[in-house]
Amino acid sequence: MSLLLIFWEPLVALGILAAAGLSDLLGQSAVLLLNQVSPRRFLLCLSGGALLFVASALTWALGLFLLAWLFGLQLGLARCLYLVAYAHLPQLAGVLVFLPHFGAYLFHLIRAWVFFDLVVAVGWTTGCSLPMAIVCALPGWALHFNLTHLGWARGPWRRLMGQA
Amino acid sequence: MSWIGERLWLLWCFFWLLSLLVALSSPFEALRWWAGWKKPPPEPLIAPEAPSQGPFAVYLTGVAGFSGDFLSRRERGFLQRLQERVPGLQVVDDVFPYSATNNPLDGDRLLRALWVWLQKWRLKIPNNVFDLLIIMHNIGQTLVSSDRRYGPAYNSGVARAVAQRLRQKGFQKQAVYLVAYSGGAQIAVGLAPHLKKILECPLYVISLGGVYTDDPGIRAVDHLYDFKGTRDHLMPSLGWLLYPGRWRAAFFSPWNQARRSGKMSWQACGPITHIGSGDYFSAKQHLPDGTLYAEQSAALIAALIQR
Repeated sequence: MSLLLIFWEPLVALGILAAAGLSDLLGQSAVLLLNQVSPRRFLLCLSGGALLFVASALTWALGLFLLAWLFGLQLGLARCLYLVAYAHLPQLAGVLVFLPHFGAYLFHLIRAWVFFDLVVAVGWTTGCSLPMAIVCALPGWALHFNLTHLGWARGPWRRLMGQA
Repeated sequence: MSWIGERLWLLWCFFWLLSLLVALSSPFEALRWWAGWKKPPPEPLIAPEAPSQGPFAVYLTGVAGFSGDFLSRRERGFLQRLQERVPGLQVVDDVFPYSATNNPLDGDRLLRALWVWLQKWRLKIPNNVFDLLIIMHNIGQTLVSSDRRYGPAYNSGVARAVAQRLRQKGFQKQAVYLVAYSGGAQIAVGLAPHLKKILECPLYVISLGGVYTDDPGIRAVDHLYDFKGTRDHLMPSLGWLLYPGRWRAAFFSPWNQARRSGKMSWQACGPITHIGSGDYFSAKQHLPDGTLYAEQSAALIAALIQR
């Protein structure tokens, strides 16, 4: 219980990321079905994918920390993790990407929203300029959403899906 | 807020929540079938008819459709008029275009009881509010057909069902006319490339107040004829509004390419509305020259088939 009280903030951050990842994958799960995966592989891919999403978001947080350090901004690693996690709140609606027609637009809208959330959060936390916040957030964002884009079905995704 | 107002508000919210659920679940049917998680319903055992010389038309109903077997009296009347005008015309009108597996709403489904109940009410009290759920289901399937992610799987399923029914009617590689009303037009352009691949025949789409998108399937159509009533504004405009590929600015979209290449023709056909007593199948309203709306629709389509 006391451990929970000490680590509640990182746990909440990781919980948000896992839920956002799961929601995002459910939204994109059409790709799995179109690849004719079995129900068992489908569930495996969702759970594995959520973990991969969290790992990828953590990489984004690490990238943000390194760039902030490089530019001399006052931003600790834990704070980077929280900012990245809370920026993912709109991603909780990622399941709506499954909607026919509108989902395709939502997919891009949500990704852009997450990015701008983080840019605003970095700017507000460190007091840096907007271009500086964008430079800090952009590389990690591009990497994160490349890794978690199911439609491209590369590397780890292809292995998880079994076939494509 | 008054007690009634609160209840109405709750009912309104419940309706939209239900609609969202219906829309969210709409790709599942096609995807589950495509992924092999669900077996398609068994094909009906109908003996193939003798090879036919007559032209072939496939009628794809609008988003109020319920099953392949169920067509409104007005639509039946219109198809009869069309067959009277084109001797030997073979019409396939029993494919349910809002299911990838030709599974009617009263077929093997989880919510079968709900759909049957709604249909029962619809037959008792036409145009009641519960009609909207059936329409929402079918709009969802139309959106699935037009979606670049789900469309290929969905449309190939419908094309398979259409091809099967055409073969049973004695099809021999003649031209096929897809006569589509309202949302059926999207299904028609969506299934066109798949049907063309299966049947290897000329393919024409004739739309009556059609709502369709910039579906790449439009490239496979030999020509698209779009008849539109001058009082049919909302639905066809909705297609334009929802699909940016139909805007002139989307210069390279399949829709604009087809338009520039002269593959599409539009014709106004009098003061016809999209739905209601003055729609394309109306046997009550008539034009200033005395022609019934349904008669005119049949005549326009017959003229295209007999060219």
